[in-house]
Amino acid sequence: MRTTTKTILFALTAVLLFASMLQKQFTLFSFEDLKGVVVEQPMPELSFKSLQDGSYQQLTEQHLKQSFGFRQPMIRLYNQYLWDFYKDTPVAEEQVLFGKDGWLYQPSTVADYYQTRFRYYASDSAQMATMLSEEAQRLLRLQQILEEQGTHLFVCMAPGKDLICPEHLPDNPDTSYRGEPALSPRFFNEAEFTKIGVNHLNLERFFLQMKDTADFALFPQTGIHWSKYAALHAADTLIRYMEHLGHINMKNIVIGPRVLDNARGSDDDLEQLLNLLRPMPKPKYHYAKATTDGDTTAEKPKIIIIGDSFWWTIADQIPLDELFAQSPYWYYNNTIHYDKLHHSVSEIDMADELRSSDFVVLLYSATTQYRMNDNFSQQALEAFGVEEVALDSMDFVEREIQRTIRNLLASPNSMKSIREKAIKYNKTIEQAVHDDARWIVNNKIKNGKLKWEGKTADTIILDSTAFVEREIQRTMKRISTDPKLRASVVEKAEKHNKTYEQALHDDAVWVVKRKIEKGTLIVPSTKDTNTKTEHHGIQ
Amino acid sequence: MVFSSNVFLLYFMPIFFLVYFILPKKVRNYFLLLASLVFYAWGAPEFIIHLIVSVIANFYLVRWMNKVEKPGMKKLLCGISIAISIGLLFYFKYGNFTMQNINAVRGWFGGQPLQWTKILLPIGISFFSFQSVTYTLDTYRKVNEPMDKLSDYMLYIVMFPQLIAGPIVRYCDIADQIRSRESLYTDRLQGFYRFVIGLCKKVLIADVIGFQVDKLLGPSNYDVLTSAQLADIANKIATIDSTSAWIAIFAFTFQIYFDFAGYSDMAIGLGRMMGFKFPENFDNPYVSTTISEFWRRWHQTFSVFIKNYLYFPLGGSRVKTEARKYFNLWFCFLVSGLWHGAAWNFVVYGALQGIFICADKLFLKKFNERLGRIPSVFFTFMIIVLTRCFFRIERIDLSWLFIKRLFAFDFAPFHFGDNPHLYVTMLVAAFFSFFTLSKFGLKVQEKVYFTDYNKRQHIVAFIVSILAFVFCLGALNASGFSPFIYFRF
Repeated sequence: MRTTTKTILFALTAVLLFASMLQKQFTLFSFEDLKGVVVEQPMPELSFKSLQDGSYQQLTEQHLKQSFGFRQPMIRLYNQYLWDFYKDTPVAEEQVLFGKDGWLYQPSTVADYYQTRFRYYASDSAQMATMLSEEAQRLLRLQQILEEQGTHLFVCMAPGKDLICPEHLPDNPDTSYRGEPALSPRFFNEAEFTKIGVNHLNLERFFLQMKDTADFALFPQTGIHWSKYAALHAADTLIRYMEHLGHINMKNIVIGPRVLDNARGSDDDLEQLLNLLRPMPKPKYHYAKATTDGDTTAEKPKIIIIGDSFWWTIADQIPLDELFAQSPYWYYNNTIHYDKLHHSVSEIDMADELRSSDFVVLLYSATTQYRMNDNFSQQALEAFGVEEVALDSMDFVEREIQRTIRNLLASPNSMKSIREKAIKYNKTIEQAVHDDARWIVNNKIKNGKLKWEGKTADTIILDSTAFVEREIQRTMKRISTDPKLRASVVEKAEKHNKTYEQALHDDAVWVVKRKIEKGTLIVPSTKDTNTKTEHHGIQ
Repeated sequence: MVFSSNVFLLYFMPIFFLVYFILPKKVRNYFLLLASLVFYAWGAPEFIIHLIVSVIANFYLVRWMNKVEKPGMKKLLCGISIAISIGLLFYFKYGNFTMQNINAVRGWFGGQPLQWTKILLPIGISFFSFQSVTYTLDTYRKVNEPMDKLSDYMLYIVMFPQLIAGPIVRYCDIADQIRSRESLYTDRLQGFYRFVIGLCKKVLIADVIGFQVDKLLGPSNYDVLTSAQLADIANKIATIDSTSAWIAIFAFTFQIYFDFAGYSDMAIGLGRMMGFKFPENFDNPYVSTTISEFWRRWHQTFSVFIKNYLYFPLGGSRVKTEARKYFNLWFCFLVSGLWHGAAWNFVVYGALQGIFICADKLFLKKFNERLGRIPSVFFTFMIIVLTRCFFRIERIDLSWLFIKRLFAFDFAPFHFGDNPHLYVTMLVAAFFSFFTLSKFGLKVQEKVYFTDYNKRQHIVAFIVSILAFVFCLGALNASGFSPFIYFRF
C-alpha cells in the first residue's frame, strides 16, 4: 500500500514536472498575457558556433524565460504575494513607485516632482536650459515657416500626475541625489514660450484650476495618464484653443451622461504592470460617451498630433472623423496611427504633410517634455531646408550624441535593452544610455555615415580626454560670462597671486572634476572600460 | 547550467529523470555521464574539452601509479597526477592574481609590467580539482582500488549534481555507489523534497537578501568591474550609515549561508533521487559555540578535505612543538581563505579564521564555555559576521573602511516599512539559522531531513513541495536570474 502511494506520488511529480513543457507545446490552458513591454526572443538557431560561444544557451534561456508553460499564473502568484505581504513587486523600482494610500506613480513622474531628473538628459541645469532654449527657438522658427503656409503650430502641455496629485506621492526615492533642484522643463518651457512667442496651451494649469472643484477624478489612482473622463474635458479645451488660434468654428464635443464603473483602459495601466492575480482596491471612475453637437456649419480641419501616449486617451474617446478631416497621430514622432496610408514618420514627406495640415499639435505631458519633441522640430526644419550649423566638429558630434540619447530614451525597446545591460554590467542607466549613444555615433562616424563638413572620422571622433577638455573650456566660458562668478575668480586670482586666466582654468577644472565625481557629468568610457558590451549597442 | 534556472528546472531535470528511470540499470551511468557533460557544456562550452582531457589523463596516470611496484615511481606518478589537478587549478584560478602581484612588485622597483592575457575561470574547477586529488590520494594510500572503467571515473568527477559547487565527495565515499546503487521510491520522493527545500533557500531567501545587499554594498566580484564602478562602490562604503552597514553585513551572512546550503541541498536531493548518498555539507553552522565548531559545521566536505589532504600531511597536531601545531592550523585556514578567491581580502579572511581557531585552542573556547551556550553562540556568530566583511568586500582597504563605518555609531533611524521584504526574509533566515538551538528544532530537522516518511507525511510533503516549486519558479522569473555565489570559488 505504502509503495503504491509512493509510486503514485512519484508519477504525479513526474507529470507535474512535465506540465510546463506540455503547456508550452500544446497550450492546454489559456491565460491572460502579462502586461508590460517585452522584446520577444525567438528560439535561437542551433549551430556549433553559437553553442561554442554560449550565445545559443543565453538566448534559449531568454526565450524560455518569456515563454515557459504556466508562466503567467506563476509570476502573478509571486507578485500577488509580494504585494499582499510587502506592498512590493519586482517591477517596482523600474516602472512603478508606490505612493501613499495605495496610489501608484511612474518613477519619472516622482523624479519630476522632486526635480532630480535632468541628469538623465543633460550634465547640469545650465546645459538643460540651453537645450530647451534651442528647442524653443527651433519651434518658433518652425511656427513662423508653417504660419506662412497657413498651418498653425502649437504646443499642448499635458499635466503630470505629480503636480495634480502630489498628496499621495511617495517620499523622494532618489536619496543619492543631493544637488540643487534640477531645472524642470514644464516651468522653463512655459516661460520661454511666452517670452519668445511660441503658441502653447498649458493644460497643466487648467487642471490645477479644476482640481478643487472637479467632481470627478482628474488622475486615476493606479494609472499613468489623466483619467478618461478628464481627458474628454482636455479635448474640449484643446478644440476651443484651435478655434481661437485658427479663427474657425469647429463642432463642440458633447459629453453624455456619466456612469460609474470599474477602471477601464488606461485608468489602471500602472496597476496592470504589476501583473497581480487580483485587482487592487480602488474607487470606481466616471465614464461617458462623447459625441458632437452636429453643427453643419462647423469646419473640419486636418490636424497632425505629435506626442506621447496622453493623446491615446483622447483619441480613443472622441469621434475623430466628425471633428477633423484627418487626424494622423505621430506617436513620439516615430510610428503613425489613425492614418491608412502611412505607418512611420520615416515614410512620409514631412514638409508636404505639415504644409497640407491646418494644425500641428505637439502634445507632451510634463514627464516627456525633456525629450525635445523627439527631434520633430529639427527634422521639420531640415525638411523645409533650414539646417542648424554646428560650431565645430566637437559640437557637431556632441549634438549628434544628444540627439541619439533622446532617440534611445524615446524607444521603450532600446531602453529595455539598455536597462538590462546596465544591470548586467553594473552601470547606472544614465551611463549605459550615454555609452550606447556614443557607441552608435562613433560607429556612424567610422562607417562614414556621419561626416562634418566632409571631414573623416579621425578628426571628429570624440574621446574622453577631448570631452573633458571641451567641458573645461565650456565651463571657463560660462564663468567668464557670469559677472558674479567672474568677480569671484578675480578675487581668487588676487588672493593666490595667480593670473586671471590661470585662476579661471583652475576653477573650471575644479567644477568639472566635482561634476564627474558626483556623477552629474558622464564622461565617455575609455578604451579600457568600453568592453564588449558597448560593441553590442542598440543599432 | 545552474539548478535555479528555467532550462534546468523545466527541461533538463524532467527529461533527465524520465530517461534515467526508463533506462535499464546497466546503462544509467553512461546516460548520467552524458547528461553531466551536457550540463557542464551548457554553461562553459569552452572548457569542456579541458575538463575531459584532464580527467582522461588523470585516470590513466592513476592506473599506472597503482600498477607500479617501486615506491619512488609510485610517489612520482602520484605527484604528477596531483600536480596536474592543482596546477590547472592554480593556473586558471590564481594566474591573474599572481601576475597582478608580480607586476605590482616590479612596479615598486621601477620595472615595466609583464604582459599577459587575462585567464577566464572555468566554473566548478575548485571542486572537481579537489575530487580528482582525493581519487589520486585515496588510491595511492590504498584506501580504494582505482576505477576499472574510464566512464565510471569520469562520472565521479563530472556528475552534474555536485560538479559545480560540491559537496566535495571523497572517492572512497562514493566508489561503491557508482558501481552499484539502489534508488527506492522513498529516495526519489525525498530527494525531490530535499531539492525543493534547497531551491527555496536559494530563491526565496538568498536571492532576495542578495539583491538588497548588492544595493547597499555594490556588486561583488570586483574583477569584472570597471574603475568607475569600483569608485562607486568605494563611495557607497565610505558614506554608508552604521544602521545600513550592520543590516548589510548581517544580511550577507545569511545570504551566503542560504545560498550555499541551498545549493548543497539541491545537490544532495538530486543525488538521492538517483540513489547516491552524498555527504552533508552544512550542520546548522550559526549555532556554533566556538569558531572551531563553526568550521566543523560549515562546508563540512571542504573542511574534511583540508583536514585529510593538507592538515594531516603537514603533521596535524602530532608535531614536535606547539608553535608548529598552531602554524599548521593557521596555514590550513590561510589556504582555505585563498581557495575562496584569488584576492588579498580572501587571504586576510582565511588568516583571521586561522587566528580565531588558534585562539579557540588557547583560551577562547574556555571563555565561551564560561559564557554559557546562548551568549557563546551570539559571540561566535558576531565573529563570523565581522570577518565576513573581508569576504564580501573584495578590497582590504574598503573592508577596513566598512568595519570603521560599522563602529562609527552614525546610526540612521531604522524603519521596518522601508524594506519589509528584506527584513521579513532576514527574520525568516535568522529563525531557520538558529532553530536547532532548541531540542524541538533538532527534532523537526531530524524528521524533515533524515527520517523516512510515512504515507501521510509523504502526501503532505509532496503537496508542499509542488506548491513551493511553483512558487520558486514564479519568484525566479519575476525577479530575474541570478547565479550562485559559490560558482566562482
